[in-house]
Amino acid sequence: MEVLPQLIVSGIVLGGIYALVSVGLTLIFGVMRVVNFAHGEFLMLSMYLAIGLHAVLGLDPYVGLLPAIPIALVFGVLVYYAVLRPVIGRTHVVQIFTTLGLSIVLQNAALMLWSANFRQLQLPYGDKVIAVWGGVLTLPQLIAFAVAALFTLTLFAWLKLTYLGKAMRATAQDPNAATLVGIDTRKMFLVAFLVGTTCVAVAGMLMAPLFPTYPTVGLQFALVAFVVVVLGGLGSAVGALIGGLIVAFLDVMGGFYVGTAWKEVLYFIVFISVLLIRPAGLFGQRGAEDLGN
Amino acid sequence: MAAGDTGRQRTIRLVALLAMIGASVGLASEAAAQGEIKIGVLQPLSGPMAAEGRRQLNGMEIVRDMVNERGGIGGKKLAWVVADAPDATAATNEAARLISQEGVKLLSGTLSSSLCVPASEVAARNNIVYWEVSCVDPRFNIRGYKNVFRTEIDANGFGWYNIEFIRDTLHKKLGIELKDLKVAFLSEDSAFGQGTTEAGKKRAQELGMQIVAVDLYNRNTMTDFTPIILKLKSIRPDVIVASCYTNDAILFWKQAKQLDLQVKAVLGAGSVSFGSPDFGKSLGKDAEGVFALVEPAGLNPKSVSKEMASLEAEIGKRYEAKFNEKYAASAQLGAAGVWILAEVLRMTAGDLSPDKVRAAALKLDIPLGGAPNGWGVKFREDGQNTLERVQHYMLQWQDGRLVTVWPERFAVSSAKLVPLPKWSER
Repeated sequence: MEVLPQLIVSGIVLGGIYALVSVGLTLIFGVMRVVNFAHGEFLMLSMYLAIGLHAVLGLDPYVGLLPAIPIALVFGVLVYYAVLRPVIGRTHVVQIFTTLGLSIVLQNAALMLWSANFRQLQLPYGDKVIAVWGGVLTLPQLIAFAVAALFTLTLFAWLKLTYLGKAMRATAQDPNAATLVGIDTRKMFLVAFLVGTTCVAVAGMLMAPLFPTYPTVGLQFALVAFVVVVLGGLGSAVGALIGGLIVAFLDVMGGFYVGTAWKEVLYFIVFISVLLIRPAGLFGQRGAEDLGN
Repeated sequence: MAAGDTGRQRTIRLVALLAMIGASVGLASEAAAQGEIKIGVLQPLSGPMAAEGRRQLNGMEIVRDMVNERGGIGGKKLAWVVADAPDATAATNEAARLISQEGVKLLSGTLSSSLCVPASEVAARNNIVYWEVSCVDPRFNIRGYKNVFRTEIDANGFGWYNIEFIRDTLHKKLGIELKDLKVAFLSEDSAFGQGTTEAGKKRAQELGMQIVAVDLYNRNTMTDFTPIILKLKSIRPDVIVASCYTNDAILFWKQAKQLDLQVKAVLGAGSVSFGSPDFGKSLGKDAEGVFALVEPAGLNPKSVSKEMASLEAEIGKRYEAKFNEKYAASAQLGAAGVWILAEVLRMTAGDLSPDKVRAAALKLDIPLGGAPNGWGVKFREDGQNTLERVQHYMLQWQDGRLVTVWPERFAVSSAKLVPLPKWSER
């Protein structure tokens, strides 16, 4: 096996995974302007859902997506009305405490329900290796990447082409102006939150065969997701994909050529440099970075 | 005394006074006899280390209950005040709270190296004993504190035993001379990983092994081992000595299979790594052949005292009945630590004052095989149980279970799958 092709394949796959986790966050963060610290926990819950559906009903996680999406929507509606709606428009401190609190509650609920043990969803074909461009990847990785690409592109088209999508982007750009031209921003917030929650639920289902699941697994991906979202641009689905790929490539290439201990240094250097030049992120709406609205 | 007191009155007063003193002493001793020896226990019960923290607490509880059922410490029962310490900040705060608000006079715990150092700082400041059963941070005992004790070995010991296993038996089984043996170290970058790896490197150098790679990573953000595995593939080490936690250990070995990393043997120290039951459960047959340096999973009965063999069996049976999982690793550390603490407290008659505990601990001398886990006890001046007495064992995943394969004196099975077959042939 050649090193460089494998690094590229691994970088793309990992980038897809980062994008999958980030794309939901970018909508929630970008449109609602709520820093959702519980995003990683949504991912964790979905990974447990995949394990549960597999253990109890024998459902393959890819089939499990069918029940998982409606479950995620119901969960999203509940969380939105119970937790998030009351804090929309409040100061960031209030929002941060709210979502951080939600994240702690969910983590500990998972701890009580499923204990802190590490679980790995094992699929009979999970380790089957596919050769691509001189590198290898597994089928679950390939599916995760394909779905990530599909999701981000669909979202991109939806945001660009549909009325709802345009209204959503308008809300992301300036909620006050959006209200003035007759957009129901509250509804946009709900839609953004539900789409975001669904995305992360799909991400969790696809990641359960790839990573061990435990109550704090979300933390491992949440920090990266925030970097990806800000790097790619708030509210931009394509930004999440490109941002995810950039961070993943720095992870993998930097890990190999410089040393794994340095990977975060590398991507934070790039992150800060991008923000210095383009404060809205690579694909962000100009002005959308202004969080003080 | 009033001028008008007669001798008789004086006598009556004296008797009354004596009676009162006697009564109060009697009451006090009665209260103490019925009372409890309150011990603060810090463990990570939430957060990423919660799985093993819970196991350790469970192991501690089993031995506490056994001590209490058998009359406790001079009639007094051991009682826990448990606090959750998922990270260093929580460990510090909870240690302070247990001391100031719960009034505990001895603290024990804590699964992880990231917790024991900050928590024991608080104990030292408040001049109470810190009784560590698990963490391996080498800095724990070298801060000049008189009141910190550790029953488990430190990371130096881990690193040392890892290499000792290679020197004593593994290289012979592989048919490779020590000086030709290529060793790669893989390590998470906290005190546990770095301490173990540094000590292992030092020992490997002394023995003339070839150290071909040392890779560090942050286990909290490690999402892909591809770079490290590709590097290892190009370097082709014979043996990988890894210091991981559980989630990263699972991910590493999963990706090693996927990327077809061929090594002749892989081993790692610690109950949170290859030694965790979750490692075997998560990887199934792919875990076969992996070595883990931990507490014994089954001991050759001839290697321990008869009394200890039956005690071990009882602890294991009770643990498995109560918690419905195998008695292993983290739980064994907790159990042994509490057992040794109880021995020391018997010598002080339950007195927790640091001077008494220290004097008793330093006096305690139990040969190898005389304490749970086949350990012995002899505390050094700095409070560390002598590394030679904290016997550690190389276990191997065989047929879905960890079995003791080294040292020979204690082993219940011999090492298999050496060298590890190709992934395609497993």
